[in-house]
Amino acid sequence: MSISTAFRAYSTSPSTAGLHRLHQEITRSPDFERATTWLPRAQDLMTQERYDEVIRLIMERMPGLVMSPTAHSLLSIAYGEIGDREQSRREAYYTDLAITAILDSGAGTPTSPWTVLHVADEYAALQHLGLRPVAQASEGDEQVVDAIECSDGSQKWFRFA
Amino acid sequence: MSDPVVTELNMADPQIFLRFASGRLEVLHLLDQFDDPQRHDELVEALRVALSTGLHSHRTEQMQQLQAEFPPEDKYQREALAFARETLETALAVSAPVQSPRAWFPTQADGRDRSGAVHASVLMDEVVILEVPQHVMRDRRNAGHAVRAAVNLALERLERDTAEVIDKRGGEPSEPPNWPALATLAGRYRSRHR
Repeated sequence: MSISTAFRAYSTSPSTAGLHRLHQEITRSPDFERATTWLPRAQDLMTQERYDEVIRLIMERMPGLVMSPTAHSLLSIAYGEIGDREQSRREAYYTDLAITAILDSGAGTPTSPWTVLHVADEYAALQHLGLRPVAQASEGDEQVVDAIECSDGSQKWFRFA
Repeated sequence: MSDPVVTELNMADPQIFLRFASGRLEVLHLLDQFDDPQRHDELVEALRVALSTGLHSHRTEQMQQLQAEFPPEDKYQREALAFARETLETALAVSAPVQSPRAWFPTQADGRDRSGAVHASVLMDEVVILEVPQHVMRDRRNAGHAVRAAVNLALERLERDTAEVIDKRGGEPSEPPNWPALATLAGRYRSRHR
């Protein structure tokens, strides 16, 4: 199954099994990188209003960045800024889909952590919930689980797909 | 200090005149036919090729001026640099350069005109993308100004990015390379692999 097939299947009919298949396909992609080494450069380009270059920077890393809320939201803003409203709306939809996929993947608890592809996804999900991370700790050897302490005193757990 | 490098290019069908000076597109005249909607894509592509050709010639002339000002000091340096150039050319011929995500180096930058409608993307010696909407072409003079603004913004950004990376990585001035040793190594490598 290709990423696009798995993505279509999941976006048409979201399910835990469908998300698992999609995550499997994305993480197997040669373009996939757990570390978001591109992000500082993307943020720098956004600050300089160099939207064409933000788009190229992210698109060069696709499909490895599919379902990254950060990548899709930056694309949505960048496309909007260069006047491509259709692509901007599409990327905004992908952003929502990616956030919903994270929040539907668990309960954010130690026994049912949310599943993410990158650390930046954790921050995107928390931001969506209006939470601000103040501390982070990683646990586990085989299956890394991030425990994030938020500014409201709550703790949220994430694991990597 | 040497004179600034100025490169002019005249093209026919479609008629274009352009001038690069000191790394910037100083003049761009679109002389005729550019408002023909039937040939829009073809004309924009011809303009991109003309800009690319002009930029490539300009960079070549800038390089020649630089080499004339700072000639390689001795035969060892020339040999080592020739080997490095040869190796680089072979590598580029085998595969397209891949940007390592951990070692970002500026190779391309984009620019738009003030309206945002005209978009140019440049490498150091090539204009790789030029987007000019049909309505902009209706006024050749304004179209020329808009393309110039977009190309120059892209060139300026690429130059600034490159300078920033060099500044960051440059650090303390290093010892001059040991050219005789490098030339010997290049000679050994050549004899082993040919």
